[in-house]
Amino acid sequence: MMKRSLGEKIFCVINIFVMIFVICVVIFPLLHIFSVSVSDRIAVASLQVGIWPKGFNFAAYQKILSNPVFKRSFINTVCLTIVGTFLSIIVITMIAYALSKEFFFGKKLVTYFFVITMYFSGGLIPTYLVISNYLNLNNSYLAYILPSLVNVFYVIVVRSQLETVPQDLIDSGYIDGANEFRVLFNIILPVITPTIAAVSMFIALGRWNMWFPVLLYSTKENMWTLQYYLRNVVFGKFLENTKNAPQMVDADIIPPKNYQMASIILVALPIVSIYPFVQKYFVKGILAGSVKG
Amino acid sequence: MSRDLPIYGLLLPGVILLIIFHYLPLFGIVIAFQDFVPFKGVIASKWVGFRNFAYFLTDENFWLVMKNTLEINIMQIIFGFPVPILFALFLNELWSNRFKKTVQTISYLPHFISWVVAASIVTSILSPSTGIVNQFLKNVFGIQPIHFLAMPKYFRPIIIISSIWKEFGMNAVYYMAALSSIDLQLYEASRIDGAGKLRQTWHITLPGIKNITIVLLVLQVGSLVTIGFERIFLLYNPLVYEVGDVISTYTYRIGIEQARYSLTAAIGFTQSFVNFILVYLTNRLAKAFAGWALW
Repeated sequence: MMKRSLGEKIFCVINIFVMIFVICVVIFPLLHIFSVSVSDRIAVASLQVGIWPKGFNFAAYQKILSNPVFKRSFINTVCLTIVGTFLSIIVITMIAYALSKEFFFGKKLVTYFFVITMYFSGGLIPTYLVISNYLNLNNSYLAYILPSLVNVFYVIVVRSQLETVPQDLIDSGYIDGANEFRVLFNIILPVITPTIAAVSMFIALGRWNMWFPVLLYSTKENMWTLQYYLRNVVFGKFLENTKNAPQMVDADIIPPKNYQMASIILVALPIVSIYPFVQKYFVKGILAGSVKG
Repeated sequence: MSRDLPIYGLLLPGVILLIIFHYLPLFGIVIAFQDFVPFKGVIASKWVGFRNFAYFLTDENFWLVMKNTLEINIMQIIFGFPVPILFALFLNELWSNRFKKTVQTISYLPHFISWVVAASIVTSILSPSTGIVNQFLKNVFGIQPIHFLAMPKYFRPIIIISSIWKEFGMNAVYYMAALSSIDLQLYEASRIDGAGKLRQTWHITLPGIKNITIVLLVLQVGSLVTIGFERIFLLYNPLVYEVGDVISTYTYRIGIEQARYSLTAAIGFTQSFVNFILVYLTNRLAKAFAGWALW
């Protein structure tokens, strides 16, 4: 153990305070929102709630959790996240595996076909017109899932991982008589599971936070996602609709503020409770992506 | 070639999806040179050459959103770029590894929260009637409630501070990785030579993160005409258009809401073009300075 000078000790104390300040800056906004959402209505109405809750009142949560639009949005988001991530991974892995082959006719051309999409895109309006006018995918879940199914950046990440799989392992599959699909899904996939897991996390997070396609392509409440629901509660006219308005629950009026704050917490909660367990995949993924895509 | 058939089979779904959702819109950019009418289609719509381009290039609204986009991005670089570097430098000096890990994990949290949630929090705490910020200003300084999100002078700081809040932790990951790869013997040696903490930081730590800093800075400069759509779109309102309206939100309004497809496609095309040139140039720069490039 090396000796530390007085200056270093003073710096260390300051540093700890800096870090505690950083933690507070990150956590206080969320804590405040949470505290308002569970505080009793008088404390909320008289603006007494700071960082900690005052009194307890879960009426807003009960009201939201029994709201059919919220329930439907939640189910939609869960299903879209699972289906979208699963399909993405399958298609991405198939492309990555094909492109990792040493040779096939037209490999160079096909590689360009994929890589070009990373640098050029049609932009908002042409994409919107294709999906909405030509394919007429309005009010269809396909408009949420299909356009973003293939992400070439992840294809490249998976491909570079596939190139590290020993050729002997692949050949042993062929000798046993397996075809390309079986070699890929039974022999190679298990070997690159950590990479697939990391890529899945990125895709799933994007899917879970998706709302813009809902704004573009759907006109029905039963096609909302959680994020879109929250956008309408906080920024839209959702609460002005009498059907959804906070009303009498057990002779207790829920202030719209409680309702909004509880909505924020409910939409953020699933991710906030999962992220400590998956963050290491994100860190690895970000670093893997930066070391030449 | 028949040997390759299974490979084409693996590629097929991806190729079809990209043709429909990527290449079709890419060729759809031709409507920028048309007076496009949806029910006539691309074939029958009238060709107008560069008229759409001439229109927006002489439109002061376009130059306003262009200026806003550039200014917000430059402010974002000036104020936002150093934050993860400073955070990583301080974090790296912590003695306790467990405390380090804990702080770092907490700093990632906002990255996982969507912009809808982040913008909802911003709106809630800045509310003039019920927000905690105005409450605090009133109780401590006796200041009358301020409608922050409706005032042009506060809009950009709000956007930039919330962006920093959301991403500083994740962005620090790059610097932490660079810092952890510095040879500890260098510190040991400089210690024996009598170098203090500040000199060590200047001569060992900062050179250690120089390359990644240049690369990340260059990437940000490369995306000067692109700006995150969600944060602006969720937080802005007509009262702050003069400082907050950017290319992506402007494109959305005139394209989707006013259905002026050809004009919007022309703007989108120009943006992609400028963007590509910037990315290309900055990529060259990165190669020259840091020996690193995207391609």
